[in-house]
This record gives sequence, structure tokens and C-alpha cells, in this order.
Amino acid sequence: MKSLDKIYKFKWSGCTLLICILILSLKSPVRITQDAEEPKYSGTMIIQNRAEPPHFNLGISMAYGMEPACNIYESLVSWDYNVNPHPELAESWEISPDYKTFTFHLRHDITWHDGEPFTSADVKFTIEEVLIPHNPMGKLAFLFFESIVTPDDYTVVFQFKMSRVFFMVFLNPVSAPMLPKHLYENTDIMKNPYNEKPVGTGPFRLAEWVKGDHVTLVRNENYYDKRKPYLDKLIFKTMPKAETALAALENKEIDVLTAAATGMLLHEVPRLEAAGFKTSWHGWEYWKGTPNLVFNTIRPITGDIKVRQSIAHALDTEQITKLVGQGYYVVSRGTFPSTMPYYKPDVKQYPYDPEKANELLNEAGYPKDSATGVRFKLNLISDATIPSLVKASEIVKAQLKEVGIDVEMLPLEVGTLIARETAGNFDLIMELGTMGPDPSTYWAYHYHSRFIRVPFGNMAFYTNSRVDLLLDMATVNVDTAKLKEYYYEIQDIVAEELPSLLFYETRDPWVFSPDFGGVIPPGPNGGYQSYKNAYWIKGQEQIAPSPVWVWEVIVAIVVVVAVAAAVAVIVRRRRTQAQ
Amino acid sequence: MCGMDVKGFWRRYKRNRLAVLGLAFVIVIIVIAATAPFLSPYDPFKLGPSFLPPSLENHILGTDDLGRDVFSRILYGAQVLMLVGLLAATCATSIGTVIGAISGYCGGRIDDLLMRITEWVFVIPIFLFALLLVAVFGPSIWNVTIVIGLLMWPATARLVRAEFLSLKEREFVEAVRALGGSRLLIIFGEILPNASPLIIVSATFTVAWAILLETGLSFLGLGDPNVISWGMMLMKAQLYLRSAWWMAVFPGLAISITVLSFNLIGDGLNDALNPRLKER
Amino acid sequence: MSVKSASLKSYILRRVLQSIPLIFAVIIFNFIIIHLAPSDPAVLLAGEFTTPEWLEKTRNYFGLTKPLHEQLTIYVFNVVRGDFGYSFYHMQPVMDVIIARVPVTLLLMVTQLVFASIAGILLGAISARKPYSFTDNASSAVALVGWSVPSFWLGMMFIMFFSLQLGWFPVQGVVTLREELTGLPYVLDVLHHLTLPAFTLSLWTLAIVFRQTRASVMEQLWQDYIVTARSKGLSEKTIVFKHALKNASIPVITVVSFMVGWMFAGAILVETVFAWPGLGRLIFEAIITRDYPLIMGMVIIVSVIVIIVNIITDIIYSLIDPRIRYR
Repeated sequence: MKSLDKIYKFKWSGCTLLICILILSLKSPVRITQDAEEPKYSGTMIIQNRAEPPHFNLGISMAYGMEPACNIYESLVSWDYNVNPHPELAESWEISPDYKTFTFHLRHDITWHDGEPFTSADVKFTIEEVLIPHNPMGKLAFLFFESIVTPDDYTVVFQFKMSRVFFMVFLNPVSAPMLPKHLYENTDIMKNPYNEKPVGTGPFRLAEWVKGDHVTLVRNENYYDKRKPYLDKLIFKTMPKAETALAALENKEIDVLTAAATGMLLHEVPRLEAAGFKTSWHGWEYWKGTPNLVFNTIRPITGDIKVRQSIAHALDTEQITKLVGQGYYVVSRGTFPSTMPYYKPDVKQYPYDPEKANELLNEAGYPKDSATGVRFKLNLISDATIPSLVKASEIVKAQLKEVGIDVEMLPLEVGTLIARETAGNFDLIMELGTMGPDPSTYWAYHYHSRFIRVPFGNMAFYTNSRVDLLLDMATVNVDTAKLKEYYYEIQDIVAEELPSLLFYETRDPWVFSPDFGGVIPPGPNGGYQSYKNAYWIKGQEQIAPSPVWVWEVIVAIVVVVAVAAAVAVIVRRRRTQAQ
Repeated sequence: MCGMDVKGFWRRYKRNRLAVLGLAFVIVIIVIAATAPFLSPYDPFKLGPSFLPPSLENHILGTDDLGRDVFSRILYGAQVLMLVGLLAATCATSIGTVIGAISGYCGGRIDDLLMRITEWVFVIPIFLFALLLVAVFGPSIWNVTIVIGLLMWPATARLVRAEFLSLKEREFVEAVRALGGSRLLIIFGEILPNASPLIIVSATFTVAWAILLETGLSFLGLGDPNVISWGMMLMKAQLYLRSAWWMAVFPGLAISITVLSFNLIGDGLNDALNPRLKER
Repeated sequence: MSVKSASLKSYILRRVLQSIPLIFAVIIFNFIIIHLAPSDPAVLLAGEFTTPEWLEKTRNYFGLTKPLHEQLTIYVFNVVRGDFGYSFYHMQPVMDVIIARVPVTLLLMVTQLVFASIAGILLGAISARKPYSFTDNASSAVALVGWSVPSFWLGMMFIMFFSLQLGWFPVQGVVTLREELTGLPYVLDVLHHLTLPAFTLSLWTLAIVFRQTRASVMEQLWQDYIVTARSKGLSEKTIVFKHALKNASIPVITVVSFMVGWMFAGAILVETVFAWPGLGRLIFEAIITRDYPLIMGMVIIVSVIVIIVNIITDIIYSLIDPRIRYR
């Protein structure tokens, strides 16, 4: 009898256990709808930051290292890798056909991190009191700005005096972050304490800032998009040195290596990919870096078109691209980045031809010295803090030596560089040639005579009245056919006159741990957008696991108790039956 | 020269095998610096296939990130090192000797003033100031040399002054003074030659410090990019510790051996000059 | 007793007063040097894509347009009141920026100094007692290496071997960010990160201390009072460690205090190699970004520290040997 009891008990216990397991594995009824990629919630992501942020106010500074602030502050729209806008603080917008009026309709449910509601008054305040007066790019972003009107709490209307075809692209966290009016009104914006303890609308809040070391951000529980962000925590570790960041990535001390570091570590990328790290070749679509050599066109030697053309023939851009880009960079064949709108692919080329280079130099009247083989000496200034430019300079120096040009490299720090550049005190400059997605402003910056002696502007002292005219006309025109005509002609002229020579187009990847997925880097301008679309693949299904877990346990206990009771009852009946 | 036993000195020096080794190395390095263009198998500026590991067939120490031969670059690097090191040390030692000599011999107010200045310059954190001055005036080798030369003399000055203080009371000095010799003659003609071993020792160590200072500045990126320097090679090598170890190991080894050699010579000279301390 | 303490106080006062003009000289010298540079910090602050009007505005905001002597006077007055100005780059008071980074460098320096001093003095004394023994030769070899090998290269070699190859130590940083450790695990984590950088720095200090200790103790062991002590039957250990070492300590302290400036140089280099966010790294970044107020602040503070160390050393001497005071 006893053994029979035992067997029954065993069988029933087994069944109970099975049923419990089945119940526990059932998904809880409290489920949140997911994207197609099934991102998970929770997790901490540690990201390399190329510099220590000076503070968090994106409205007044564009220094390196400000990426953390792009998770705290947002702009009216956000951008995807194709540089298309998506609703962010604004849920919809209209643009007038003449591109002079831009109307934005803001979401109604946005609050600042301190609980105050976000309204159109904040937008008006930020634009008028912060961005236009204080943001380095403010004047450029709001060129021809006439007025901003807020007919109600959730509508903003921008009015421009002239057409701004590309105005929208400036609405990103770096050039147009939205700041809280109630905390910045009537204060000294540069010294406001909230520059260090920021209050924004973004998906993350500032939790801790250990100066010189790292910045910790935590999820904003009151974010208006209830599904996001996925991650619990973001830590931005200040790591200016690429090799340190690389070692940290491999030791799992950080999770994300940004393009700023990988640019110097391209030779390690194949090994990292083989080791299982994920790579993303995005993040450059907004700012295109095309390192180029700028000639001082008002000095006698570099001002001679024959000299410039011969240098173009003397430089083996393939070798430069290969040595600096390790196979990942693309040789530049035009005068502008190939991914810019209105890029003309078939402009005049200068293939690598040292013989022709020598010929041209002889024609120009600079023969080789019989003893040293040197024709003349040029100095080449560059930003000492950008290693890839220094590398490119070294290669240029070695290649030009072959045709008898002795190049003296002068890596300088930025302040000195700009002082010499604006004074015209140089022969050649190696610069990054960063261009944004708005051709009218950035091309003008490089080639319009108006921007001579402006820091980082028309460094070549290039003046061509036809180009000036075309650029001015292109700025205010909205007809795409006409724009194409203007920009194509500009590119042809510039390719003929060679105020600067492009080498390659950078394609630096982001390398990150396979434990993470989603949109990494966050946007087409690299880390300058929020990480709200990134997630940890080992996370949980829901944002709030505790209640679900409690619910399941309660159900399980109830079931177990019920089944145990039933088993006890049945067993007792069997026993009485058997007896 | 009175009071100097040259033969004995050299005998004692030779007994110290390490010191002889150091001297040999330094001579080798100076020879390399002078004849680098003839010794190097490749043009150190010529670009080529990058990251080739060391092999006995072509590149003995491998190639760097731009495909340049590491061995050739090390040979050429000796030029800058020796130039800056020796020139800066000479400059610093000369200044130090003159100031120390005048201060030690004349005494009184001049001594106080010069010593006060010496103390001031001595107290300045040299590396910090060198950083600042090179960053401000530009990273050329001449700037680096001048900076080192202008900041490293106090140690020599103190030594020379102490030596002069003790030597000026000696009999041979009294003799010359009695004969009516001018102060200048006494300082530079009589005392200085006797103090010269000490000065040479000080100069040797100064060269070692100067080399460490110059390589440190280059390592931080403040070296002259138009010349080849071991410090700059190390700066670039940091990115490639994992994939191209030869870029980091060999230049650093070269620096270490050079500085070590000068230190060994300095120690050897010291021991040879003061035999009493060596024996038990 | 009162006479002794009175003269000691006046000695200290004298030394401090003598140092004040030096500090002023340092400030003025720095100011001139920095402003001689053909560079414009406003450009860096303004960033790319700026306009001449914005630059002018930036310059005015930071007071860069006033004549030099005016800027200098204002600065000196402020410093005396303890206000070192606002860092251009960090937009915070210079003192705050500096103080935030002090603990890291302090940890590194103190650790390496303590370790190197103890090891150096011990080994130096033992070696002096038995020259050319195995201990002496081994220690001398290590000292020679420590003195000749550039610290930054040594650090790189350590990273290559101990971190990359063997994986025993982390490559960089002060703590692991992954978990938020507190209490004992935190301390252990910091120690783990501290080992390689501190060891790298300490080899150099050890070399200096060892060499000086060995030389000084050997010098002492020749003195008459040692012979007397020996004839009295005192043990070698007492003689060396109690008597000789005590008298040999002055040169050792001297040489260490002279080397403080160089130790700071080593800190800059090692902090660079191991990516430690300390003062060394800060001064380097400040120079690169032309952050004038920060550069000035740091140079003044480092100079003051060195001067203070020198004064303290002098005071220790005068305590040991009162004759020095009356010079």
C-alpha cells in the first residue's frame, strides 16, 4: 500500500511540476508591442568619448566631447542614415513652396526632466536668446532669419527673408538643441549653473559627471515615447587616445568604439570583425570629411596654376588613400565629397604622373638645383591634434620630394593654425574639409571670396567672381534644375583652378560589442544624436519586469497549491478505496 | 696640470668593465650618427608596404605604418638625439660652469645673487616649462635644444661652485695670486682645469637627462616632425602595440641603451675620480 | 629652547618671504610667454564655421582685448585673493578643474614615492653594508635600468607584456566602469589599475633613492663614530640602520626633493600612456588647447608645490643641523 501511495504521489508530483513549468513559461498578458528587430530592455552601454566635455550646453558650444549632451537635449526632428527627418519634438511640419516659411507642430506630451511642460515658448526662447547670439553655427543655421512666431503653445513658425532650401538639416541636437526657457531666462547663459546640471527633454538624464573620467546618464522614466529608450544607462568614458580605447574595447571595459578612434585603427578592423565585434559603416552621411591640400593662391609659387597642377600630378592619391585608409577609404575624384547633393563625377582629373609633374615645373620656371635636386621649399601647416592629417602630410612630403619639392611640415595647434591661415602666412594647408549636408552654406564657406580670412573658411584666398555669383544665386534658388546647373559649373571651374586638392573620402566604422544592437551610431552625424534606438540583446522583453514576474509567481503558487490539494484529495480517496 | 694623475685615472677607469662598455657604446652611437646615410640599407623616408614584421631578408626590424624601414629610421634617429643631447648639454654645462666659477671664486654679494638666481631656475619644473615653451614657440629641434640648454645648468653650477670654493684656498692658487695673476687667469687658467673632471662628469649626466627630456617631449607630440626622432617613433607606435610590436620595442631599446651608456660613463668617471669610496 | 624655536620660526619666515618674489616672477614669466604665442584662444572656443563678429564677441567676453599689462594686473590681484579665473575650455573655475584631478595624481605619486623610498632605502643600506654582494649587484643593475629607461617606454612594454599578452592587469584607467563597485571590491579594483602605472614610475624614483642611499651610507660607514660604535660591540644592523642611515638621510631627502619636478614630468608621461585622468594629463591638454587661465593656474600651483617642498626640506635640515640657519 505504502509503495503504491509513493508511486502515485510521485506521478502526481511530477505532473504538478510539469504543469507549473508550463505555466511559468507562458508569456505574461502584460506585453508591450515590439519593433521588427525585437529590441530588449535594460542594460548599460559604455561608449568611448573622444574628449572630455567642457559642459553640457550644446547651445553655446560645439567642442569635441559634447556627445553625451545629445542624449539629454533634443531638436525638433531627428535624422536617419539617409539624412531624412523624423518627428522628434515636432510631430509634423509644413514647408512653404518658396522655402521661406517653416511651420512645426509640437507634441503635446513632452516634459522637461524637472517636470515642466515643453512648449513653443521654449523653442522661441532658445532660437532667439541662445542659438542666434551664442551658438557658433547660429548665424549660419539661421541665415536670412526674419522672425519666429508662436501662435499657440504647440505651434512654431519660422520666417526667412530668402529661400532656405536646406534649413531643416540644421535642426539637429548640435546646432539647434532645445533649452528650457524657465531655467535660462534672464540669466548669463554662458555661466548658468544648468550648463553643468542639464535639464532637457531627451531620453536620458544626467546621473553623474566624474570630471576627466566619465559621464553617466540614466533612462528618463518620463520620456514621451513610452517605448523608449531601451537601455537603462549610458556611460561615456573620456578616451582621447585610440589605442587605449581599442584595448578597452577588447577587454570588455567599453562597448562602443566611435569613428573618431577607428580612423586611426583601420588596420585593426579586420581582426576585430573576425573576433566577433559588430561594425557599422554609417555615421558620416551628415558631415563628410574629405582631407584635402589647400594652396595659398596669393603667394607667387603656390599661386601659379602650373605649380598647382604639377603637384596634383605628383601626388599618388591611390597610395595616400591606401596607406591612410587601409583599404577602407575611397579615392576622391572630384572637388567635393561624392555623396553631397549635386556632385559632378566627371570633372577634370589629374592622374599620378611624376614625369608630367616635372615637365610642368620646368615650364613654370623652377628648375632642379644641380646639387640637391630641390626646386623650391614649401611649408605645410596642419592641425597637430588630428593624427590622420599628420600622416597624410608625411606622405605628401615624401611624394613631393620625388619631384624636387622640399616640404617642411608644421603641425600646429588650432589657435596658431588659424592665426597663420587668416594672415595668409603659409604655403600649403592640410585640412579636414568637413562639409555638411547643405551645399549652399558649406561650399560657399570654402570657395566664396566673402569667407576669406574667416577661420576655417576660404583658406586658399581664392577669388573668382563667377564662382561667387553662382554660389550666391544657388543660395536663394529653389529650382532643382537651376541648382544643378549652377553647382555643376562651380565644380568644373574649381577643378580647373585647383584652389585645393582632395585625396580621399573617409569611411570610419563604428565598432561595438556584439551584445548590443539597434541604431549604432545613433544618426548620420555619428554620436551627435541620442542612443534611444540602441539596445542590449541580453535584456528583458519588457520595460517593467517586476510586476510581470510577481504575476507569474502568484499564478504558479496558486496552481501548485490547487494541484497539490487535488493530489492529496485523490490519494486519500484511493487509499480509503484500497482499504 | 697640477694635482691630476691622468694615467692613474685612466687605469682605474679601465678596470670598470661596465664603464668601458658604456664608452664603447657611445662611440658607436656617435659614429652611427655621423655615418647614418652610408649605413642604412633603405631611405628612411621612402614609403612602401606597411607593417612588415622583422625578417632577415629585407627589413631587419620591420617596417612602420607608412612602410618605412625601421632599422634605417633608428640609425638616422641617432643624429637628432646626439645633436640635441650633446649641444644642449654643452650649452647647459658651459653656462653652469661660468656661473659656478664666478660665484665660487668671487664670493660675497656676487655669489649671493648668482646663487639666488641658480636656486630660482633650479626650482622650476623643467619638463613643464619645456612643454610650455616648445608648445608656444614651435616644435623645432633648435627650440628644444635652446630650452634644455637654458634650463639645465643649475646642477652643474652648484657642483662647480662647491669645487671652486674648496679649490681656491689651495696652495697653487695662492702661488699664482702672489705672482700677481689676474682673477680671470686664476679662474680659467688654474682652477678650472682642476675642476674639469668633475665638470665632465656633470656634463655626461646632463647629456643623459637631456636625451630623456627630448624623447619625452617628442613622445608627447612636441618634437620636430621633419626629422626622425626615436621619441616620435614611439608616439606613433602606441597605436600598434598589438599588431606591430617592433615599432615600439626597438626605438625604445635604442633610447635606453644610449642613456644607459652615458650613465655608465658618468658612474665610471665618478668612481675613477674617487677611488676611496670604491674600496672597502 | 625658546631661542631655538624663535630662530626656527624666523628662518621659516625668511624662507617663505624669499620665495614670494619667485612666485611673482613665475606668474609674470608665464603670462608673457603665453601671450607671446601667435595664437588666439578665441578661435578654439568659437569652433568651426564661425564669423569675425562672433570671434570679437568671444574675445571681449573673456577679456582678451584689454592691453596686456592690464590683464596681468587684474590676474595678479585675483590670484592673491585666491581667484584663479575661469578655464576657457571647461567654463568652470580653474580651481575646481584642478582639484577634481588632484586625487588621481596624488594617488599615483604617493604610492610610487612610498614604495620606491622604502625599497630604495632598504636596498641602499644593505648594499652599502656589503658592496659587490649579490644584493648590491642586482639592486644596482635594477637602479641603472630604472634610471636610464624612459618611463613612457617602460610603461608601453609593461602594457604589451602584462596586459595584452598575459592579461594580468587592465590596460588603462583608474576603475572598471562595468559594475559600480563600492567598499572593498572598489579599493581592490583601484589597486589593480594602480599597479602597472605606479610600478613604472617607481622604478625611476627607486633608482635615485637607492643610488643616493648607497653612496651616503657608504660615506657614513667610513666615519670615526662608526668605528667607535663597532668597537663598543654594537651589532652591524644597529650601526647601519640606526646610526649611519640616520646621518645619511639628509642627502637622500635632498635628492628626493630636488626630483619632485622630474617626478611630475614622469607623471605626465605615465598618465598619458595609461590614460589616467590626472593633473599631468590636464596640464598637457591645457597647453594644447591654449587654455590660458588653466595653464597659468597649473604652473603656479606646481611651482608653489615645488617651492614648498624645498622649504620643508630646508626646514628639516635646519632641524637636524642648526648651523644652516645662520647662513
